[in-house]
Amino acid sequence: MITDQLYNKYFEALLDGDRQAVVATVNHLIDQEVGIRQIYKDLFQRALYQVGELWEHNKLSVATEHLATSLVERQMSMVYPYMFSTERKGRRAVVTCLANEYHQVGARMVADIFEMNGWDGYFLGANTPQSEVLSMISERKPDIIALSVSVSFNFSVMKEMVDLIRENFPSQSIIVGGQAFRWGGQNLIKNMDEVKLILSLEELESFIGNYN
Amino acid sequence: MKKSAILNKYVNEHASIIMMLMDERGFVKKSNVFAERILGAEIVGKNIRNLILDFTGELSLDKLLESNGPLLLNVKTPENLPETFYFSFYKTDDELTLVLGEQSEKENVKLRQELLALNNELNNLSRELYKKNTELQQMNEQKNEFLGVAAHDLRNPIGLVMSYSDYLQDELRDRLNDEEMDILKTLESQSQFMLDLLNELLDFARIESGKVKLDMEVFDLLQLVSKSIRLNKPFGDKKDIRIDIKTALDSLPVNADMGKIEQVMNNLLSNAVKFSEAGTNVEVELKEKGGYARVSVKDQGPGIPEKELPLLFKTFSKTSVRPTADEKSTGLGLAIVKKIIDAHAGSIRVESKAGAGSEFIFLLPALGRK
Ligand code: B12
Ligand SMILES: Nc1ncnc2c1ncn2[C@@H]1O[C@H](COP(=O)(O)OP(=O)(O)O)[C@@H](O)[C@H]1O
Ligand SMILES: [Mg+2]
Repeated sequence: MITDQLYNKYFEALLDGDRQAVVATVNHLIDQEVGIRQIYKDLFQRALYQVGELWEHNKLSVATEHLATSLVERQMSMVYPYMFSTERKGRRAVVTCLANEYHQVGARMVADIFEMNGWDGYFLGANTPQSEVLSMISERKPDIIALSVSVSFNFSVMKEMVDLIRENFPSQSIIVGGQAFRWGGQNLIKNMDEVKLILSLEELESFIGNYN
Repeated sequence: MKKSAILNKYVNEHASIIMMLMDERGFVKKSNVFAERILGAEIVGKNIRNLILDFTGELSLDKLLESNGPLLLNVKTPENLPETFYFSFYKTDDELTLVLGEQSEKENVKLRQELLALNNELNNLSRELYKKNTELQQMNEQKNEFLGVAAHDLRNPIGLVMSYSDYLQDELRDRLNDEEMDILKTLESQSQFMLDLLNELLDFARIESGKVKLDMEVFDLLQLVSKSIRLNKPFGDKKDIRIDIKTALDSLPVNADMGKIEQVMNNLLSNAVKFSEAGTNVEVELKEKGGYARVSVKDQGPGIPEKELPLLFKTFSKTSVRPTADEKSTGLGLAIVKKIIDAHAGSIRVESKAGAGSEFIFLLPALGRK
């Protein structure tokens, strides 16, 4: 279980850049058979959201935020050995951040969720140029392309990307998500044909479960 | 040059410190080169409050000026990325305020160390991965070798069981009752199945371990296909399934391994018959197209659900489509077929929809007609 006490200790070590301590916490949770999804949400995401709050209040520097993000990303690959054991479904998803979108941790989690459900999740990473997204689609022929948007000012880039995909691959299934939608923007999606907005990993999993 | 002038020039052009002079309303009057690099070229004339990221709206000019000691503030680079500086504000004699912003060397060192550690770890991880991968390859080879030996050594005894049960059926025909005869028949058909399975396993192990050399020769694919159809006709007849051939060609020379291509045809045809209902048709079509010989085997069977298509060419995988007359199924045939076609630098694909039949199409490099 991820208690507040455990979380607080972890968070402190994270800001401190104490990689041994954070790695030990994650190993401990894996030993206790705490699920990957829970570690992602209740440890990693919670910690990074808190980093965001402190940063917003000028209580912590970008360097410290970089340190924390980099440590979290490293710990995410610690759970890989437990991720690929599911039966493969023969389905593919390409997950990408938009051009000009530098927040990539959430999108990586999305790619991992696809993997955990037996899909191949290709993760293109932060700030991916539109042309690269398009050539990935033609190369991998994914069942789903997932776009991640974290900052609201990238909504226009999202619209552009969706239009480009539609133009080049009319029948491509598209889903979008990310924390930019915490502050609105949901109406934007309603006006887009056949684009599905998904807000949480739980919702994503039930979407994947019902996909055929 | 005077010492102070040298110092001034240096700080202005080279130091990694933000230096600005601002008036009492916060407008920037002067800046050094570094400040322009971090904050953008045209900062003179801008207000300090527009240069500093203020998420909460809590920052006022007074607050900045009153602060003593470095203040953690975020700015935004021309690439729209945040950077943190520790700012200090000093009143000068000419009523302007000197703004100095520096980064924390301690934080930067920590970050650099983390990057280094990450990089090392990454190197170790990929080394491990390569090692594991090589081990896996070796284990896979061992598995195939084992499979080959086992299959090979089991073939003779099982062949013996089969021919003895055949022999006994002939010899004891008059002395055994129906039930006893049935037992012998079952013995024979089950050992036949085992023998087929062993042969497929042996094939698979050979192909998988790359031990199979293709015996390339030039032959007429049309003749080979016709022969396969003839050989599979009896099975079709049993279920009242007709196998037709359709082609405008009178020969189609290819350079390939004849025995292996026959194996491919046999599996595709036996599948088409095996999974179709009685009274349907199978159509084999031969074409030459874009430098390839193209063979298609099309049935009117149940088709394959789209979801299961990725399983088809995998080892031991069967789909939810089952034989219609209790025929045997191992799930190895198409895996072998794909390996054979790939080894010929050809390709194979399937077009199928649940309820609408299946079409298996393979391409082989053609020789060109003479
Ligand atoms: C780390 C960080 C950065 C790093 C990113 C480094 C990296 N490697 O990712 C850097 C320094 C680059 C950065 C830059 C900026 N950032 Co920043 N950043 C953060 C921080 C602290 C953490 C982000 C994170 O990883 N969160 C954890 C992940 C797991 O959560 P998540 O992204 O929400 O993802 C989850 C869900 O949203 C969902 N999801 C995500 N994508 C998708 C996609 C699909 C298809 C689906 C189904 C679901 C899904 O699944 C995830 C798991 O639950 C956040 C704070 C916060 N609240 O998150 C601010 C934050 C996102 N940043 C913010 C801002 C403003 C910026 C800057 C604009 C600042 C500036 N002016 O310079 C720049 C923008 C740069 C750019 N063009 O993208 C704001 C955004 C506010 C807004 N309204 O848009 C935040 C919220 C901080 C704040 N409180 O103000 N940032
Ligand atoms: N023509 C076909 N129509 C429908 N299903 C087929 C057809 N050919 C193959 N299949 C499906 O693919 C599976 C794998 O075929 P194969 O590898 O040849 O193995 P086997 O013939 O031993 O079952 C079959 O079990 C069947 O479910
Ligand atoms: Mg078969």
